Order: sequence, then structure tokens, then C-alpha cells
Amino acid sequence: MASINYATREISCKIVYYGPGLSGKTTNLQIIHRKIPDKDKSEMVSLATETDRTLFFDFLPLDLGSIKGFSTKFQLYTVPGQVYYNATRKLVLRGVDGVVFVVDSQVDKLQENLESFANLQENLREYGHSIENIPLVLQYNKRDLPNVYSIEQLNSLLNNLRLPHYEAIAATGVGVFTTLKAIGKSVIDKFNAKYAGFQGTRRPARPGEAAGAQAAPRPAAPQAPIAPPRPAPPSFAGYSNNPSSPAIPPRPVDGTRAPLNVPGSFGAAGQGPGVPGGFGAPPVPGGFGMGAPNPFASAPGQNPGGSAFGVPGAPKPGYPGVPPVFPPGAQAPGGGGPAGQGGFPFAGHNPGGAGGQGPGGGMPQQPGNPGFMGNPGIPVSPFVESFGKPAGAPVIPPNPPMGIPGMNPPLQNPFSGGGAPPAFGQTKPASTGGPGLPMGGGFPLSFPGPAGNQPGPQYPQQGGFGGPGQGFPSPPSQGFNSPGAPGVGTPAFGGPANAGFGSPPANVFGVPPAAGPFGNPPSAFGAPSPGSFGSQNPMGRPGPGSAFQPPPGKGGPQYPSQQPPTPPEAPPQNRPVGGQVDNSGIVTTYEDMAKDDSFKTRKLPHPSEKKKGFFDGLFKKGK
Amino acid sequence: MGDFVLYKEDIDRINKILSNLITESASAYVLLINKDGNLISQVGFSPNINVTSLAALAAGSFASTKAIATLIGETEFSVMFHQGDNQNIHISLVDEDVIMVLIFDDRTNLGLVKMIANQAKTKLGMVLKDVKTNGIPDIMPELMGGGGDQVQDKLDLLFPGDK
Repeated sequence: MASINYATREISCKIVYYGPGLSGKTTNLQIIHRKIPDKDKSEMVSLATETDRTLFFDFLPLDLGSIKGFSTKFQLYTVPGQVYYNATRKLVLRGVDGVVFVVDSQVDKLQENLESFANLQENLREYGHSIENIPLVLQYNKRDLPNVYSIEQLNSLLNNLRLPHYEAIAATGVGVFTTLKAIGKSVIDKFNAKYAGFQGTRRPARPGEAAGAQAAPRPAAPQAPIAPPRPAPPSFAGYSNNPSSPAIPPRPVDGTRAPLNVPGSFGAAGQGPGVPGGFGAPPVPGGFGMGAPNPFASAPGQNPGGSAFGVPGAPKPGYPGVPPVFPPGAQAPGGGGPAGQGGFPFAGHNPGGAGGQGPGGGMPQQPGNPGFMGNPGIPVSPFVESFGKPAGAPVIPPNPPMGIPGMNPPLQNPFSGGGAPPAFGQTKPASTGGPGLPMGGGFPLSFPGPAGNQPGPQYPQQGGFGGPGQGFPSPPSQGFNSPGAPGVGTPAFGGPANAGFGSPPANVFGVPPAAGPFGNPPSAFGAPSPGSFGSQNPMGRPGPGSAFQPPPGKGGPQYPSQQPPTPPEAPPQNRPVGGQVDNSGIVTTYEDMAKDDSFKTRKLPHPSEKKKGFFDGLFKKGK
Repeated sequence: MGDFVLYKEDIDRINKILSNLITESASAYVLLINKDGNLISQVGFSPNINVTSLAALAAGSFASTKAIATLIGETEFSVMFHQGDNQNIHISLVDEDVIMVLIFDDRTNLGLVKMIANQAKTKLGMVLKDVKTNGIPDIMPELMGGGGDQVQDKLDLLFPGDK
């Protein structure tokens, strides 16, 4: 039973070397392992006794590379040959695709060969195979020893089925690869035979898949002439799925359900250090602030965002051996709030900032999104309000579907959201007049400093930006700033704090649009204007921070006039509304979450609820 | 038992569940493997873990535990837990063919991991049920046509001069 993974485009076949004890099965694998070129070399696992007798199995993965678009891998196993290890031998045979029966050619080993061959038949039968229907080759080993049977004799004794047979001297490598090639061909040819003239029995796509397969246009880019495909899932650290999947079905989306951008994965300009950190997962009080790891850590010119994986109450240093690397000016994860999670540097190897999560943190509200965040009582999970395009900042240009070489269709930057360029001055300030979200925990918003050495437009300080508990005192030279501690309560937007957002479109990532390997629009941040921060009541209740709440369309803070040119208006309903992004890059919108049971179980405390202290209720007053 | 065919959509669904599992249980890494030792999916943060070997060994370990279980009259053990000084491993059966391997350290605790893993197991079971109804796609014959010779060519490339 081979494993065919269409997501990773991998076919994995299991080949077992079978035979009597000391016939040379492990030696075969050792020779193969020794001869694998270093660049392809993988570790060989041997579960052997102290005397180097195989106890359970030897295991050698062998990557053949791409065959017809599929990465083909052989997993070579040996079995323990001794008779009394039959139980483990049987286990190894599970799921076998092909068998090499290694025969000890010596005359006095004939009985063992016969017993082992009978045992193979018996064990295969238990898994529903037989030697007739499974690819099987014989290797007559130890041909260099004296007192061996001739090939004709061995064939008459063992090979009644006229199986392919090969002579070998495994100790010196003779015949080892001939055998391997023969069984490899045999296994794959078996596939051929199995699927020859096959019409395909793939079941109809489930609802949701079907829409996905129709290349549904991304709502945020209505102007795009070609519907951009759904972004490929970012690979997690060490996560190798889908490294080069050529066929990525777009996610089914409709007008009201927009995929979410992934903060925490923005690369700053290639020359810029600062990257916003991850997003928090506030539903767990004091819970994890887990950033989306940057899947494209190797993308040229992209500075991957880090993420913090904070564990409640357990500030820990980084994962052993992999200290987090933060860019200069970045703050360590977990520094964002009093929750005080030490960052579990989930993507600590990625340069880039990581934001911890603090209850005092807020979420940045998109400008020009009247109604959504402002609606009191919308029980949306306070996951991520995306850095997507503001409604007033329409898409220019449409997401250029840039491809990674060899990828078809081109991947789109999953984090680009609508891909709106910064549009300061044109964006309408958000109207989040309502009490806001019932957020339990806020977001570790780590806003990028100036992207690279090109700070964007500097805005005069706007008093009243930022509510209590939210401060963004970012000097332009600082690449990364965590939200201040709660209770700062000052007009916290330190003027040029938003320099990073104000960067000219092409400079946010430092990647020219055409060179953006992942389809970065000129500014994937969507450039919320400073006004967007002011519009957000970080604590989710009316307060000083929400004092600045101009109604939509009435103009927000008046910025200097050196803004980028006015882009055309984008339909507001198409802007990303938020959601959650998981490690695989799957974007979960609020709608998804509402349907998902696991999200329903997370009850969020209303901000107005008084936090009950430990001693409350233990002692009664007046008594 | 037919071939195990996974599509992008399946992997997406699986990874979503695994990601939530990692987040909620504060584990470091999770592998989904089948009992043959093939890796289905993996999510998490693994510095220098040889996941291929890990998958093969975990499957082997699970298989041998199953053999032990039959000796004492059980069909199989559905959960295995190995505790180390720093890292622990929690291996659980998702359905009759698929095993979930969860690696975690002392940032979390076994009880939480067990609970969250159990929840994830149910969800994964539903996805895997769908996976098992996956047929073979139409492109299969085209893909595999002549594959056998290509394998030999690849092996010739990999081991030049070895006969």
C-alpha cells in the first residue's frame, strides 16, 4: 500500500528486504546508504542488538527525486532474520509495496532459505498479499563464497515462480544496486498496471472544495483581471508539506467572507529589520500568543516575521538549541503585555519580531470599516484584525500574480490581503464608535518601524491616538515596538510611530512589486493610516482611547499632503474582516470560526466584567 | 486496504486541526502518520528532527505495542506515552490506520495534551473518514505511465557506476 500524497505530491513506497538471518539484508542497506550522494543522504536507522544483529528493523529512506511531477520516495526496510523474531518481522511487512528476498547462496543455508521464504509467504498472506501479486525479486547473495549453489540450482530450489533474480556480493556492493533498481522498477510498474486505463474514481468534491476548485476570485482584488489563487499554505518550521504544489485551489470565498491577512508574517523591506510580530490568540486568557510563522522564510528580500508562542504563566527561554533571533530594535516576544508570557519562539529561527500578548493590547482597527468592529455585541473572536487594505484605500494595483519559478499557478502572498497600497490621507478614519469587541486579550501589535532606511511619510503626532493601554512610541529608527503596558493612557502615538506604514508602496517589503516572489502587492500591509489606530479602542470599551472616532467618510486626521496618489475606491465589503491563521497558513475567517466548534468553546470575558481577584469571596466584608 | 490518497483539501483540513492542537495544547510538534510509517502531515516547530525516521520508528513502536497488547488480551493500546527528561512524546491512535504523534516538553502538561489530543482525534477521524473515500484521480495513469523506467534512470543518476 503506497502512500500517495497529492498535497505534497509525494509517492512513498515501502520496500522490505527479507531473508534468513545473516543473509545480508542489513548489508544491502548499508551499502546503499554509503553510496547515496551526500546531498541526498538521509540517516539510516538500525534497531540492532549489541552484536549488530537486527532486532526490529533497519530503515533507510531513499529520495529518488521527482518523477512525473511526483516526488518519489522509497522506504527501505529490513527485517530481523532469525526465526524467533517472526512477530517483529510481520510488523515490518505491514503496508509493503515490494520485497527483495535475499538468499544466502551457501549450500548449508538452504534450509534456512526455504524456511524464510515460506515464512514470507505466510506473513504476506496475513496482510492480504501473496508472492504472486506483490513485486518480488530474489537476490542470490554471497556469490563470492566457496561452497555455494549455482544459479541454476538456486532457481530450481527456490524460484519456481520464475521471479527475477540477481547475483550479488552485498559486502562489496556487487549486485546491490541492480537489485534495488529492479525492485524499484517493479514496484512502480505495479502502479502502472494497477492504474492502466484507469478512469479515476475520485469522489466528487465536498461542498467547499468544489467552490475552491472553481478559482473563486479573491474578494479583495476585484480589479484583478485574473482571479488570484488561494495562497499556498506557508510551511511551518520544518514543515515540508506542499513545498512546490503546482495546483493550489483557491479558497472559496464570497463577498462577505474574506480571507484574512496574516500579520506576523510580513517581511519588512529587505533592508529593514522591523517586522510586526505574530498575532495573539486571546481566547485563552493569558493564553498563547502565537504568531503565524513566516512560511517564506527563504523568500528573497523578505524578512520573515517571527512569532511568539507564549505559554501561560510559564515564561521560558527559547526552544532548546534554537534561540530566537530578533532584529535589532525588536523586542523579545512576550514583552507586549502583562500577561508576561515568555515567548516560545515558535518561529524563533526566523528573524523578525514577535509579539507577545498582553491583555492591554488592542487590535488595530482598519480605517474605513464602519460597522464591523464598531458593532457592539458582535461576538467575534478577537483574533486578528488584518492588516489588510483599508476600505478607503482601494487596491492598486491588483495583486500581481507573481509566481515562484516552477510554480503554477503562481502563489499569491497569503498575507497580502487585498494588497492595498498605503493610502494615507485618503483613507477614511474608521468608525468604531461602539463599545467595540468583547476582547479578552488584545493583540501584541508590533508595528514595523520604517521599512528599511526609507521611512515613510512622517505624520504629526495626533493627540488622542491610542487608548489606554496602547502605546506605540516608536521612534522611526526602531524596527519593532511592542505595545506599551496597560494604563499608559497617554496619547501614545508618538508621532512618527507609523513610519513603517507610511512607507511608499514599494518599500514596505523592499521588494519591487514585480520581484515579489509571492505576489506581494506593493504594500501588503494595506497601510492602515495612523487614524486607524486611534479609531480602535484597544480595551474594547468606551474610554479616552475612543474619543477620536470620527464618523466614516467625514475625514479623519488631516495629514500632510505628501501622500501617495489617491487610489480608486474599493468596495468596502471586500476588505478582509479578520479571522485566524493557523500554522499551515489556512486562513480561517470569523465565519469559519463561528462554524467551528472549537472556537465556540472559547468564552471570552466581556471587558466590562470585573476581574475577580483571588481573594475575592474568600473574605467577606464586615464580618 | 487501498492506497492512501491524500489531496490538498484533505491536508488543509488536517493541518488546520493539527495547528489548533498545537496551539491549544502548547505542544511543540505533531506528526500524523499511518501505521506503515508513512508521514501524512506534520505541523510544528522541530529543530533537527528527522521526521521520516521518527514516523517509521513511531509506527514500529506502535506496532510492537500492539503485539504486546494482543499478548495480554487487548486488541491494541490506543495511547502511548513516553516521558523523557526534557521532551515527551504522546502517541495515540486516530483511527485504525492512522497514528498521531505529539511531541511536547514541560511547557505544558500531560493532562492538557491528552485532553486536547483527544478532541483533535475526533475531528481528525472525521477527516480521515473522508480521505478513505478518496478515489484515485484521473491523472494517475498519466502520472505513472513509464514511471518504472524513470525510477531506474533516477537510481542510475543517484548511484552512477554501481551495477
